[in-house]
Amino acid sequence: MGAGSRETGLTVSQQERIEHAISRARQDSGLDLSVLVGDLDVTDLSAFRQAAETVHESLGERARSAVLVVVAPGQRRVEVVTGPAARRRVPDRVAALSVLSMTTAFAGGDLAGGIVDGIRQLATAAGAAPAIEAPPRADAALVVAHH
Amino acid sequence: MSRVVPRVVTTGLAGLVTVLLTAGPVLAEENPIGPAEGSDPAAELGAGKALLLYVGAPLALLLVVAALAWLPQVLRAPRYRPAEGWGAPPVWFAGPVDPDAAVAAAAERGLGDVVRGGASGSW
Repeated sequence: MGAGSRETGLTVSQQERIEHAISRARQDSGLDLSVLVGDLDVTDLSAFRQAAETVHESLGERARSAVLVVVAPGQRRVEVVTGPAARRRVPDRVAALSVLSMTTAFAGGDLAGGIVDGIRQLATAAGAAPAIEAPPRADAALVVAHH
Repeated sequence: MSRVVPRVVTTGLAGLVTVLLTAGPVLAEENPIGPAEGSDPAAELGAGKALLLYVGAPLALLLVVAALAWLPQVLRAPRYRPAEGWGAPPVWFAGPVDPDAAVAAAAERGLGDVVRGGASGSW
């Protein structure tokens, strides 16, 4: 896809590090987290976000509650895409922080380390419990009665 | 963990070299204390042997040390350099079983009116 000169991609140990980080993040947070490392097929980089959202959409049933991280080393772009349900646990502010720490590592040449750190940040911010349920109606009525 | 192993190897090699350098002459020569009285060590040692001992040996040692320092760099995987681009095919960790088909299908049915969140960055 990218017109890069480098053919080797990630080493086996780097892939293992990333796989380990993902499975750990998924276990700890219960988030449906996945990471795509590779350039996307776009002619113009302004369409990158849309292409990343298409990749997220391709998760099908999972998409609603999925968090997708797209890292394009050749295009030097990173996207975090959250489904409507996942967004409640991973707000855009949290995604932006994770993106910031990833781009810092990537610019320094640390691809696997940046991905591992970014994933960890997302999982930590999402917390251990699944999304908090809305309070029961009775409590809400009680609050109103006090006023 | 990954840093402990090279350190142990380096320390072990340094220790071995030290022991060999110290013990070598003692073990090799018949008279470890020094040349016998009345003998002329300089005369016994030919020009070729002297050159080998005082020039060749240090050079060989230097080459061994240089090789030990250079080897880990060569064996380590090449680092990602943002300016060099990326030719490797995409890898989707924890993605669908058939990513190509899934993405093609998603491109066909479009994004719909789902509001997605997230963040973007470039470097």
